[in-house]
Amino acid sequence: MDLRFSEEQLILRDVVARFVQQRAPETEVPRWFQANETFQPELYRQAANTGWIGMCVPESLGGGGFGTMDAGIVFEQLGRAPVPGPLFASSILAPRLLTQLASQEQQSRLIPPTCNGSIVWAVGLSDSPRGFTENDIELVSKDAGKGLLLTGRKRFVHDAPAADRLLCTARSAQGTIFLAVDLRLEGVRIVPHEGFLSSLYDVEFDQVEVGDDDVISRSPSCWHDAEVALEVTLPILSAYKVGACQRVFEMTVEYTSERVVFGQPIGRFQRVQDHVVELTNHMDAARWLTYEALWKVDSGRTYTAAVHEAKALASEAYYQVCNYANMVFAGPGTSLDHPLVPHTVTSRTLYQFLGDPNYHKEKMMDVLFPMPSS
Amino acid sequence: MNFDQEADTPEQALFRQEVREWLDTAMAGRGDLKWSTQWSTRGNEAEYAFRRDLARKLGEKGWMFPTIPVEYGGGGLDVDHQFVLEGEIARHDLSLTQVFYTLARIVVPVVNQWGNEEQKRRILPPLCKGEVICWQVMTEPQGGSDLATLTTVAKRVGDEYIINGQKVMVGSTHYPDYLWTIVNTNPGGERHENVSWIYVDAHTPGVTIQPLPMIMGMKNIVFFDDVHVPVEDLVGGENNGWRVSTTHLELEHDGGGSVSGDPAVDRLIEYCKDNGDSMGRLIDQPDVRRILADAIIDGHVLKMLQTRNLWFRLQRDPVPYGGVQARYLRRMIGLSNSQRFQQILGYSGLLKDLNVDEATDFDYISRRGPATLHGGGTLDTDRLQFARRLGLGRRQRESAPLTI
Repeated sequence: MDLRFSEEQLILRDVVARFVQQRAPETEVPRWFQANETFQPELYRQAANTGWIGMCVPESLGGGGFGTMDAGIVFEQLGRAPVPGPLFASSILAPRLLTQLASQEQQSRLIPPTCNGSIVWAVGLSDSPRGFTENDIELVSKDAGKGLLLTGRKRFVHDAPAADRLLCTARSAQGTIFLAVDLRLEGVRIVPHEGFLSSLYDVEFDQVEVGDDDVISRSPSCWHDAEVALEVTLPILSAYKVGACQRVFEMTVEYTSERVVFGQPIGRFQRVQDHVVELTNHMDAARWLTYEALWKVDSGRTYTAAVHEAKALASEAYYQVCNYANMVFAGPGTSLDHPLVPHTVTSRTLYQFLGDPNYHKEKMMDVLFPMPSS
Repeated sequence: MNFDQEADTPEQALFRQEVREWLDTAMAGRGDLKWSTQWSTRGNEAEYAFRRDLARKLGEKGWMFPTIPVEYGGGGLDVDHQFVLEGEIARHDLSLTQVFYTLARIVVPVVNQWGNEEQKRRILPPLCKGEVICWQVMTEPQGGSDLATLTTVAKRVGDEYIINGQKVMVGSTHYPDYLWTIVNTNPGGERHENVSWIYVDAHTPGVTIQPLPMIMGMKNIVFFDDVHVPVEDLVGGENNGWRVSTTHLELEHDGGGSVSGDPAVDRLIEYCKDNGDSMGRLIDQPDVRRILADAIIDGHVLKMLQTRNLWFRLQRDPVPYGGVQARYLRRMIGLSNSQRFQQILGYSGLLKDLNVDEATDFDYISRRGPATLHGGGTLDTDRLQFARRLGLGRRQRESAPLTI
């Protein structure tokens, strides 16, 4: 057993940490969220140059050939800011789905430009506001000549305006299919959602024609295959939330010493201490189960239950950590300029992303104790 | 990182093989004996005798306290060996710190750190070798979480201390050989600067032990009436007891860590597979699955944090707030589980079953929730300590003392 990162991993962590401090400083990030500038092209380009986009992609396809734990280390640091935008979708989700579902030709056409930053992806899978199911897909695909005609919408797509392409599901006469749609095609409209959320859009399709070469998969099992493919990405997303929790923890602990009321630092008040205690417990639970899940993926162990468990815990932890931090920061923590605000908003937005905690707990239980087939 | 507890060095692998075979042989005599918990309500004398014997055998090998030097009765081994031993005994649903119901797990590291050479050579070997049973005797009727209000007084007279006072809610079913107790050695002195630890032969005249039945089982009241104790048995220096307590309390507050986990949820899962009602097997019912998922996740988190605590402690780099965090969560999860078990099992969740280890007995699980919220300090003192270790509102963060 060894519960420490390797020397190389510590170096990687420190490099990303410096990048985040310099490129996504806490003085700037709240403004990005207010101005809806959560896609920072220059930051994205630098991340691509450094080799973090597609870092888990095999080197033969232009990626970095890194392990899942390494990706977790990078995303943990990105979560501290929190660095917003399509980094997770482009760097992890889309390449993973493409390598599992797409043809060799599509992979060699689409993945290398993804890794060098010239194709940015958005991903739209389930269209349900609350669940993560195949049944709720709203985009409809009809055969039309050599290609397809798309009508309907993809819902709650993260960072759609930043993306060149949308990797998405659609309903066809034969069942669910996966597509890689050029978002600049005529008839595509990106509609922002307003609310207590960050960078969420519906992508509407009005009789949009796409070619057959943009169909990634027509396999009858493609939804299931995608779910399986997504499993290894879940602990990387969890690591992002762990990093976010860690930063919120640090700013909260610091504030308990700085902020003086009734003649003493608020950290001396036991009620305030209680909030930080619970915050810490959520953070550590998410942290250690996420690390273990990352390790299980990399070491070839059975990991399906563990990644769902980590995702459930990390989403819940980020949400609760922000709650407890708001109890401590009180008024100032709700000012739009405060660095806690991007975290609070992100914790809500990501709570649903790729399935909420209840969904992942159910998936965990289904793996551990399969229901009898009816 | 590597979460595989059996990812051994070649030397560890050889040692693991040796320990595993040795334990399989030693456990062969267990037969149908079911393990009792620390304050057992079962009164299982045959089981107690078996575990005392097991402790003696382990002690002879130096495996009860592997990292304690041989001259003090330990194994003279390193932390790699200890980690193997912890893991191997956990396979038999016991832990190295609780082979039988003695508090040597706390007393040995404390005496090893604070005792003088003569004390270490005299006091430690019988404890390390599992030959004696020792209780920790701290709480007083007026004290509770406020340990420092000690009114049990040890008065120095010549070469002896004469102890008078009363301790409550201590020990377990089986009569001790020694009492490890904290006493007031300077009644007029400044708070925290007036206490000392002393190792008392429990058979000394004037010691009276009176059973005190409680929800979780049997504890005791200990009376000291003019108990004469040689001055050589005061450990860590007169009036220096509060500093000695830092080591003691770190271990009492779960700073030791563990790889053992809680077997109760595993039994609940098996029960839910094997039992059902008109709606089908319990394990297939959605409400049961939701509750069970939370119990499984909580159990996993707790075991992970306890393992983290053990591993970093053995690296001599203890997580500052790790012990008190695990302790707080262990008790909160124990409380949650007492309700979860009942939510799933109904009346059956309250029933005693002597055919299983007590730690997995539904009766015990339902008692454990409310009954283990106080030992060694309340949930509220847990959180106070936690806050100190996080450095909340303080210039300096309190660190965790080394306990190895």
